[in-house]
Amino acid sequence: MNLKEFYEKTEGNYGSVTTRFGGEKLALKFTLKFPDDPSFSQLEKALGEGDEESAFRAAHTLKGVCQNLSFDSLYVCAYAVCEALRSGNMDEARRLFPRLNDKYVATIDAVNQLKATL
Amino acid sequence: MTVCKREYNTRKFLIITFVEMFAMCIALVGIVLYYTQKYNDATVNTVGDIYMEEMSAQLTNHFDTIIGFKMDQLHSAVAEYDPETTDLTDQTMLASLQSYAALRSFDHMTLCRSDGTLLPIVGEQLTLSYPRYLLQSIDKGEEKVTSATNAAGEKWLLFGIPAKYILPDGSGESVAILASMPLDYINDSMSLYASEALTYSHIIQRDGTYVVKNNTPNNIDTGDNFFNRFREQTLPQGGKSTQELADELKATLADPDKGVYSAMLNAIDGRRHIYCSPLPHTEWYLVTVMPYSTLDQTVLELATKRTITTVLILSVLLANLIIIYQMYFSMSRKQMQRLEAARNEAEHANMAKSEFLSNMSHDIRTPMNGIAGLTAIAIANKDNPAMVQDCLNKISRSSKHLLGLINDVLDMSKIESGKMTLHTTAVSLREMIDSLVNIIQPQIKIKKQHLHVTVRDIIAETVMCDGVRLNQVLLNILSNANKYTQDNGTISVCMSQAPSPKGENYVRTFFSVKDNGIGMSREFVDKIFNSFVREDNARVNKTEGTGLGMAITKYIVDAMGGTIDIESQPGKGSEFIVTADFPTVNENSAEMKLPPCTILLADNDTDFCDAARDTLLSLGARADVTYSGKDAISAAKKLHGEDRQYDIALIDWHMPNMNGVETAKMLRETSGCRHILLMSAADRSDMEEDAKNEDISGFIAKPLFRSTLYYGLLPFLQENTQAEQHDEQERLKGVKVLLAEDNDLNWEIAYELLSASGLEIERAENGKICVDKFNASPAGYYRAILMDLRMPEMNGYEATEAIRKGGRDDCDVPIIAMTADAFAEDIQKCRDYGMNAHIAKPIDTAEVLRCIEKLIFK
Repeated sequence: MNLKEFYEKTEGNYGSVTTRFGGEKLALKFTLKFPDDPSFSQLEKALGEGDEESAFRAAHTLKGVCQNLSFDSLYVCAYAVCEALRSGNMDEARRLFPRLNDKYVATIDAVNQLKATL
Repeated sequence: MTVCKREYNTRKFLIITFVEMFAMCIALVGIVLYYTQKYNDATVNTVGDIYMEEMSAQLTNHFDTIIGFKMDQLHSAVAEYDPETTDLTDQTMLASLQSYAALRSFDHMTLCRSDGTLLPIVGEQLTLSYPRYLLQSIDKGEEKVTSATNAAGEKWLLFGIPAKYILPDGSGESVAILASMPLDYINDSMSLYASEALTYSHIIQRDGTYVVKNNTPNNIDTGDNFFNRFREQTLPQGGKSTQELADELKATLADPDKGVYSAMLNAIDGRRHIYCSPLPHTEWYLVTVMPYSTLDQTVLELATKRTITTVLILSVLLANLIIIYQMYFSMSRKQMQRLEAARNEAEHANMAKSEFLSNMSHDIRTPMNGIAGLTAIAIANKDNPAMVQDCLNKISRSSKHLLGLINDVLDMSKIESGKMTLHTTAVSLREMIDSLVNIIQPQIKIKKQHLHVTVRDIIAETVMCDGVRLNQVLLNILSNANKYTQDNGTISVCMSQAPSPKGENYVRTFFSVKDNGIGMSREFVDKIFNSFVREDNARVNKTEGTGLGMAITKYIVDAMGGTIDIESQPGKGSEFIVTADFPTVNENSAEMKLPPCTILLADNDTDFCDAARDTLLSLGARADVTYSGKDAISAAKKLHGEDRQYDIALIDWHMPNMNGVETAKMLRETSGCRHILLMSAADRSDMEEDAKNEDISGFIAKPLFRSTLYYGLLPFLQENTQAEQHDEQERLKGVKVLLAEDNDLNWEIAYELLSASGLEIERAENGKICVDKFNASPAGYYRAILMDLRMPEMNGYEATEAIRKGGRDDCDVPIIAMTADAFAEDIQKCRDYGMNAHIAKPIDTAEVLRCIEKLIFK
C-alpha cells in the first residue's frame, strides 16, 4: 500500500496533503506519526471521566490534526464530537463517539498496513 | 486491338449463324406453305366431289320422296274412283273429285288420251311439253313425272300413272291419269337454291331446256337452255374447246345408261364444279353447280389465316431469336471486356512489378555502389582522418537510405502476404506529434519551409492504436509534403477530434497535412495508392523513394479501419486527411489543473489561438488572446496600468511584422508579464541563440496539447511561488518565532513547514510556557508569536492577554491565532484579546508566511 492508496482507503484527501507538504515525503512522515498522537485517547478518557473541558480540548486538537493531515473522513467525525462538546452536550458527544472510534480504529489499521509495506 | 478483333470475330460468327437460322426459318415456312397449298387444292377437289355427289344424292332422294308421296296419293285416287265404275260425266262424281283434289293440293287432275293430249277433270286445260316421253313410260306401265303448260304459258309439274277411264267427251279411253302441282313446290320443298348454301341447282331436260331454273347467286339471266349457257360460260381447258366440252356433256346426258356427269370447269366468273345426275321417274337431270369462288374464298381465308398465323409464329420465333442473339452477344462482349480488363490489369501489374524490380535494383545498387566505392576510398586514405570521416558520413547516409528502401520493400511484402498486423497500445498523441515534428524538422529546415502544427478540439490525448504504424503513416504523408513542396513553401499539420459514431469509448481523430506544393493531377490521385506505381518518372527520379510509401500508408489506414481523403490541384498543393476512430484511454485529465493564473497569448494564426485558449480555459487558466506582437504589448501595458501582471505570456516565435524575440523584448519593458515563453513548432536547437536572450524565460513546443500546456506552464507558475518564497526566505531567514502548540504532531508539522522558509521556530507547550518564554527573552528576540487557542494550563486567549498586559517594550509583538475554529465570533474574540491576525487550520504555509511577513515588515 502506498500513501495514495492509504488516502483512498481512509477517504482522505491525498491531493491536498501532498500540496500542503510539497510532496509525499513529509506527508508520509506525519501520517506514520499519527498513531502516537495522544489526543484521541485523551478524548476517550475525558469522556469516560465526564471532564467536559478536557474532552472539548482533546476533540478540538484531534480535529486540528485531522485537518493538517487531510484525514477528511475522520475530521468529519471529530468535528461532530467537538461541536457537541463546545455546546456542553456530553450525552450527544458520547452518542457520536462510537462512529469516531470506528473511523479512528480503521485509520490506525490503515497506517499500520502502510507502515508494514514500507 | 485484340478486343476489337475478337469482338469482330464473335460478331461475324453470330451474324452468319443468325442469317442462316433466319434463312432456314423462312425456307421451312415457305415449303410448308407451298405443300399445304398444293395438297389443299387436291383436297378441295376431292371434298368438292364428295360434297357434290352427296348433295346431288340428297336432292334426288328428296325429289323421289316428294314425287313418290304424290304418286301414292294419285294411286289412292285411282283406287277410290275405280276406272271401271266411275262415271266422269256425272256431276256429283266430278264435284267429289274436285274436293278430293283440293284436299290433296292437286291444282289439276287430267286424263291423257293415247295421242298425248290432255282432257281436264279438275282445273284448266294443260298441254304436255313432251307427250312422247310420257306415253313411252305409260306404255311400259311406268309412273312418270313430266311438265306441262297452261294457256297462259305457266309451267306445271305433272305426275301420272296408267289408268283407263272412260273419257267424258266420249273419245274413248284414257291411257293415264295425271295430277299437277306448281313447279315452285318442287323448288321450295327441295330448296334447290338456298342462299346460304354453297351450291345451286337446276332441273333440265335431256336436251338442255330448263324444267326448273334457279337464278344464279348474281341473278344473271341464264337463257332457256342449259347447254347454251354452258357454252357461253365455260372456258376451254384440258386441251378441249368449249364446244367439245359441251358435246361431251350433251353426249353423257343423252345416253340414259351413262347417268352421271361430274366435271371441274373454268368458267368466266371463276372455277365451278358441275354435277349432273338423272332424276327418277323423269327424263330430267338434276344439275348442281358449286361455284368455287365461294369455296375458294373460304379455303383462301383459311389459307390466309394459316399463313398469317404461320408468319406471326415465325416473327415471334425470329424476334425471340434476335433477342437471344443480342443478349448472348452483349453478354459475351461484356465477358470478353472483363477478361480483357483483367488481363490488362494483370499485365500492367506485372509490368509495374518488373519495372519496380528494375527500379529497385537500380535504387539499391546506387547507394550500394556508393558504399562500396566510399569504403574503398576510406581504405585508400586511412591515413587521412578527415577524408575517412567524410567517407564514413556518406556511407552512413547511404546505408540509412538503403535501409529505408529495404524496410519499405519488406513492409510491402508483408502487406502482400497478409502478414502485417497492428500492435495496439496506449499512445499519447501529443508525444507522437512531437516526435513527428522533431523527425521532419531537419528536412523542413533544409528547404526553408514553414511548418504550422495545430491541434484543436482534443477530446482524448491518449488513445489505443498502433503508434508505430500511425507514425509511419503520418511521416510518410508529411515527408511527401516536404518533398513535393518548393523551398519556402508552407506545410500545415492539423490534428483534431470529434465524437466517434462508433460509440462513447471511441474518438474520431482527424490528421490533416496540407501543403502549397506542386499538387497532383486527378489521374494521379486515383492511382496514388497502387503498389509499385510511380506516375511521373521525371519527378520521382529527382526524389528518393520506392513508390511503395502511399500503398503502405493506405494499407495501414485500412487496417486501422480509417480512411484517407485527398484534395489536390496541380500547382496549388495537396491536402491529405487521415480519419480514424480510436478507442480512448481513461485519463485523469481532471487532475490536470493549473493554479489560478492569467496567460497572454500572441500568435498570428487565429485558429491556433482559439484552440489554445479553449485548452487553457479547460486547464483553469485565464487567457487573453492577441494576434500580433503589437497587440500583445498593448494588452500587457493595459494590465500593468491596473497594477497587475500576466503570469505568463505565450508568444509565437514566427510572427509577421514583429517576431517573438522582438515582442518579448518590448514586453519586458512594459513589465506587464512575469514570464515570457516562446512557442514554435521548430526544432529547439534553432532557438538556441534566442535562449540566451534574457527576456525569454523558456520555450514551449507546438502543437499545444492540454498536457503540453500543463507540463510546460506549471514549472513557471510554481517557480513563481517558489521565487516569492525565495524572497520571503531571504527576509525571514533567522527570524525567531514562538509557536505555542500543545499537540506534538501539530507542532512537528508546523515546525517542519515553517522552518523550511528560514524562520527559527521555538515551541511553547502551552499558554503558560509561552508567556514565561516570552517574558524570559530579551526584548525583540521573538519577532512574532503563533498562538494555538486551545491549550491546557493556559489557553491562547489568556496567554495573549498576559503578554499584552506584561508591560514589556515588545508587548505589542505580532500574535497570530492558529485554530481549527474558523467562526466569525472566534475571529472577533481573537481581536478582542489583542491578537493581530487569525489563520485557520490546516496550516497553509504560504498564508502563514505572508501573514508573518506582513506583520513584521509592515
